[in-house]
Amino acid sequence: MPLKALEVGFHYYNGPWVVSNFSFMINPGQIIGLYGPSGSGKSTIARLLAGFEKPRAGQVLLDGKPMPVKGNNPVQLVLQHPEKAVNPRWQLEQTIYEGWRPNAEIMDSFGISNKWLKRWPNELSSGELQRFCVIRALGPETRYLIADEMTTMLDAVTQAQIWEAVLRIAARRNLGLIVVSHEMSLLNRFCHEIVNLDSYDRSGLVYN
Amino acid sequence: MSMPGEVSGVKTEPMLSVRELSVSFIQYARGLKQQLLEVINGLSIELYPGEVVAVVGSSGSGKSLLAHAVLGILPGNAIVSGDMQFGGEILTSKRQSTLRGTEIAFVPQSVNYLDPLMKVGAQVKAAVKQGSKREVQQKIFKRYHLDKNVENLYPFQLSGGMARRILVAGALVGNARLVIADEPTPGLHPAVVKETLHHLRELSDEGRAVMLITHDIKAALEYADRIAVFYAGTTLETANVADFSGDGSDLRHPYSKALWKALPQNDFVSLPGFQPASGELPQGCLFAPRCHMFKDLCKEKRPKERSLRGGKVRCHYAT
Amino acid sequence: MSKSGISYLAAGSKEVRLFKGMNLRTKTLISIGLTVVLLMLIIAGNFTLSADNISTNFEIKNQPPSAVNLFGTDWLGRDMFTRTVKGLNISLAVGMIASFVSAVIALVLGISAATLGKRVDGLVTWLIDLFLGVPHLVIIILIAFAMGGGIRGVIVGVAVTHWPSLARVIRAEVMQLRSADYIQVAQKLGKSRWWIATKHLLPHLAPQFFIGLILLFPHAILHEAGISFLGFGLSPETPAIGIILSESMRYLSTGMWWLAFFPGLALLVMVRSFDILGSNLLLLFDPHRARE
Repeated sequence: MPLKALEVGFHYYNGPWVVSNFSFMINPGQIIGLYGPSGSGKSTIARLLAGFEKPRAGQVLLDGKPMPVKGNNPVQLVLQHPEKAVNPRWQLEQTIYEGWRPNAEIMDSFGISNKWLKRWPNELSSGELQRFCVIRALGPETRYLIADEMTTMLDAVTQAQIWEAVLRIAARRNLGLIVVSHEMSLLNRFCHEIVNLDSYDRSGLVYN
Repeated sequence: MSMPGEVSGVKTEPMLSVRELSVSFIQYARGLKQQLLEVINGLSIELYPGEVVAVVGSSGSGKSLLAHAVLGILPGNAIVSGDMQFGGEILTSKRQSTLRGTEIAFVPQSVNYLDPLMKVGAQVKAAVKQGSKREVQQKIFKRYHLDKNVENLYPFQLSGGMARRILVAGALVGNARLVIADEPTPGLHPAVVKETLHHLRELSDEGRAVMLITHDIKAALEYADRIAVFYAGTTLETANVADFSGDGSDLRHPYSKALWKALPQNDFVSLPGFQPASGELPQGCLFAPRCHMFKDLCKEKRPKERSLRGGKVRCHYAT
Repeated sequence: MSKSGISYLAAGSKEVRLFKGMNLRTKTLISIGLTVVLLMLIIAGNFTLSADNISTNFEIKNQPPSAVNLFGTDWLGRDMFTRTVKGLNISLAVGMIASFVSAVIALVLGISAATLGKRVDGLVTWLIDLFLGVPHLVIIILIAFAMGGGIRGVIVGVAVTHWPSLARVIRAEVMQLRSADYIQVAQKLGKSRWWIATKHLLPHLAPQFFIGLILLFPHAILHEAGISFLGFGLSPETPAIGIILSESMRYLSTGMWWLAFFPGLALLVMVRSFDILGSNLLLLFDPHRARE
């Protein structure tokens, strides 16, 4: 079941077009990088593909059908700032189980300490929180994972650790990965294909 | 490259010297009981005029807290101990408040530091200490690609990227001798990132000292003279930029080496485990649980900082 | 610590000397405990003090405060302490009902403004501005007058005027929550609207709502007393604080200071207690300050 974007366009209420005429396709098992500097609309594309925003033009199709609005979405998005993506009033155990109940092996592969489960988000660093956000998104129904600058705010060691685990799980489950980043060296490391958004014509867009 | 503190062969005094800094927070453990949570311990760092020192390390390693401690803007439940000197004199909280914004400039991480009720042009003008305020402000706006009409806007009317550029402009426009920049660039357009870092470099070349706190080693390598590697609330190593090259064998601490090797442009290999949380620090070396050079001594005794090959390191066995 | 070293509580720590040596959480709990005890005493007084104390008894009229009549007696020989306690109870009841109704209005309007689209939001915001722009007292008097005075008029008047500030807080809070990343993530994890509302939104809103409710109390009570004092509120035979105060005014010039002083002071203490209770709870729930 491929994930497709057909001539998608998006703008916020009364605002200028942030994304226009963008087409894209990915199949299970593929790893595609979306490269672009900040302000190039790549985060918006990530949100459109994950169904966080509805396109103002064109459509996003999963397996030839429009994205489901309800139910567990087979396309999951992991965002740049984990501290905003977890409920500050929940213990992390609750946060991770909101998605599914991962086994100990998966927790281990992300280097998660059992003690963290009973912690509150403000007691952990963003590198630690991001591991929870990634696992939460990797439930059994997930087919595509979109990582929007997922490890940009993390140190290199944690970055490598998270990607190692994600790539292993993606390969085992034949997931499709869309890796959104402004860092070419990261994308070059493991992407099968890289889409350069800088080469899209986006005249009229200014610095963010 | 000359040694830190040597400007044209003459040894100068450090502009900022921090020795054995500890920061703890008073927290509630359970119910009414309080406990001390040590977030920075035994941290030492020196900045000399004319250099950019990058502070790199994982999130939660205490990088921002170092900046806040130097500026004296830690929250009320923080307890600070140790020795901090600026220009050879002890930094008391009174001195900190007079130096803040004049001698010491700060580029904060959060855009909430802008005054929400003041037009941003006026905020930047207020920071100008020399020359025609209007001219200097207009010049720096131009430099940071800010339109002329932006000066009449209030912070809430700015995009995130613009607000960040105003923060940078406001901090760098003054006449400070020490500039502390806490993650000044995330979310900015690459051209602006380059401009910001270039500007910091320029300021240090004029004889100021710059502390660049960042998680981006690549940027640090390009613009800094020395790099301090943070881990679990302390500096494990202070190295010259040139040491970060090749297979990383010029580096001293096993963690710095791991950090270098983990970069996607290098080997992209990680370490198992995680950084110990404050409150659960091992008794011995902070890095011992993840270290491949681990020996019994590491478990028993926390290594003191020592000089090694023109840098500093906190490891019993580093050579 | 070395001699040249520095060690200090960082900037921003202003200690209240009253509870020296205790941490914020202990202090907060103590002040909450004290206010609750005070309020319980007022309510208990209503049931224990005999109604005989406030029947007319000319033998003991115009007595200054004494061990028997703590707050003195009035021109009809009624015990002022009993009158004050019963008056406070009426104020309490009126305040409680009015501020509860007000808080519910705030909750409903705040949530609808934030979730039912631009038009509803515009309408609610306009209402909020309208009610904030006109002095409360004027609206309360108009409503109480239109409803023919009495306790019903006061309650309705106070209830319909006190919701705007809380509604604004709730509206802002819900708006912020709605666009929060973790709420959107929950939606994509297949959680129903109901699930998100009860598990994510409510835990955030509940403390806001309850603290808002408690902070509405003193306002409601003061306004009730105010319009009763002016003669638009409760009927003269109810022993409300406002009535007591306005009656006492006539006797002040004759040197009977206790008639207004004690009921006024009691009202002040009660209002202030709620204020302290509310602001302390706010501190306790504020994640940024709760750690100190």
